[in-house]
Amino acid sequence: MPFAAGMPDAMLLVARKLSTTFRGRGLLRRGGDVRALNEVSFSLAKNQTLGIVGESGSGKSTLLRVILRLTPYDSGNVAFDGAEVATLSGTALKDLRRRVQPVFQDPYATFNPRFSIGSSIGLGFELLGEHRRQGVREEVRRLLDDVGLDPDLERALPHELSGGQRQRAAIARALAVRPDLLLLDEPTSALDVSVQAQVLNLFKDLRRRYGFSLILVTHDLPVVGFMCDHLLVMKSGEVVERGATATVIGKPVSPYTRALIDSAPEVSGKKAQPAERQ
Amino acid sequence: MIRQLNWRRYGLVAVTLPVVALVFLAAALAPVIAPYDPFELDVLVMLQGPGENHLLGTDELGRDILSRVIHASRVSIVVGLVAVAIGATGGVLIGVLAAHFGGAVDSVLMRFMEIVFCFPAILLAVILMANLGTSVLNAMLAIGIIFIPGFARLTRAVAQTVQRQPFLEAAICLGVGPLRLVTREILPNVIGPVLVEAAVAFSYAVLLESALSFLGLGAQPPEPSWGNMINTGRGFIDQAPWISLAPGAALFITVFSFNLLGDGLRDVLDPKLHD
Repeated sequence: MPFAAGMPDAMLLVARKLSTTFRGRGLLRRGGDVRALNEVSFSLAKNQTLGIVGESGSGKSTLLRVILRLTPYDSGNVAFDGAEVATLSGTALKDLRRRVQPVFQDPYATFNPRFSIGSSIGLGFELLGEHRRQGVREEVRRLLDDVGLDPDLERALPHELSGGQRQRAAIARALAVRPDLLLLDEPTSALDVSVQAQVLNLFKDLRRRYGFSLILVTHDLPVVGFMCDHLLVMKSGEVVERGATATVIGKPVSPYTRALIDSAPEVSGKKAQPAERQ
Repeated sequence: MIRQLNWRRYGLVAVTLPVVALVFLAAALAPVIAPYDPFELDVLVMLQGPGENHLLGTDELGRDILSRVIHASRVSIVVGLVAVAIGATGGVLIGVLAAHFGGAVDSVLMRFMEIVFCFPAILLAVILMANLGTSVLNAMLAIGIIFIPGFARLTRAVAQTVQRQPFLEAAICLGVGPLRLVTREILPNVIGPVLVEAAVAFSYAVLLESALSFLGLGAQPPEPSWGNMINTGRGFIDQAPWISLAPGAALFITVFSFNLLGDGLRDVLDPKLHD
């Protein structure tokens, strides 16, 4: 891995010149090719929090999917803890799967509607090798408590929970396998503003206790300001700006970043609320 | 959590299930509950109308119609069950494979299913029966094969929707293996729609079997089946309409209640329908 030369060992995730193209799907397969990622490079140190912002279609979600190996990429490479993600197979792939966990945007489809919340969260413990029913159950209840849910909700079906509760449960599922890196794709966009703040605070709290690194994808700049120490601004599949969050938001270089900052709603409450609860 | 019986959700099933159970019971207990031997000839009471001794009358050979209708339900039920089992098993398997592999596998499988789909069901059954020979066993097989494309399409469509769901991707990211992915995440979500389809397919199988028997391709006389009884009655429709009407009514009730049961199951099996 030549690109790893000179990098400190503490780098958890390194992406270099990642490119992905979605082929147009017309009747004759002409035109319409979309360059979703264009030579995206970034790195994430252990215990770091990185925010990725950009408007819809800027490629930020695609980037997460590539890291998760849910979407293939054309060129470049992405390495997790020194191992190239695309070439992993067998045990090494299983290991990556366990160590990198997503929390998706839509809390309504993030759980299999046929199984109880407890069963879905318990799956992670089973995959870690805990097969005793009682053992799994205890772990699930403890985890539900950790994310601020009533442990008795283990028996509830997904549709019986509110959006915020489901998002908390989704976090519990991701934490069950003790991940080193959590990828959050717009984790609060589908939630009420008041619930948003609670969920964001929960992430902060859990990070202190579980010690995972975090990549947060959002179009909501204030959320990144609250959550992340580093920031990546994306536009049309390219990184237009990067740096420490405070610096970028305070003194944006790219006109696009400036536009993003200016367009963030200044309505009282939205920006202030998360900070209040700190 | 206490769940109360919800009439809107369970009503249709509550009404149709007893009828369906009755049909199954009649089939299972036919020798016990039938008042006469369905093969017993009695020339003294030929073409007798419904009356005290023969509740639904007798046919041209003096056989008791009620007994024959009850015994005939066995053919219908067995054909229905086996045909649906063949169709559902084959269809779900093909549908899941097509959805899982996609691309060329999907195209080949589904185009083949569409070819089968193109033939009118009854015509396809007749063609299959002509090659396999006429018997109840071949009727089951022919009807079962006809059902495969329907189940395959349904399963593929549901499986494809599930595959795009975040919960499936979440399972992939947890490191769940492909087999478990199918059995835990996909099949449980497919089973509801498949059960609904199965109930409707069952009624259609009963109807098809009767049509085949009516054409002389299913159960062979003197073995009673609703189809061949209706056919026999054709010749006596103006003197003894009950010969056709009784099995016709049995056929109607069975098909109708299974269809409604299918609708009812749809309501019951939807986990998102709140109590």
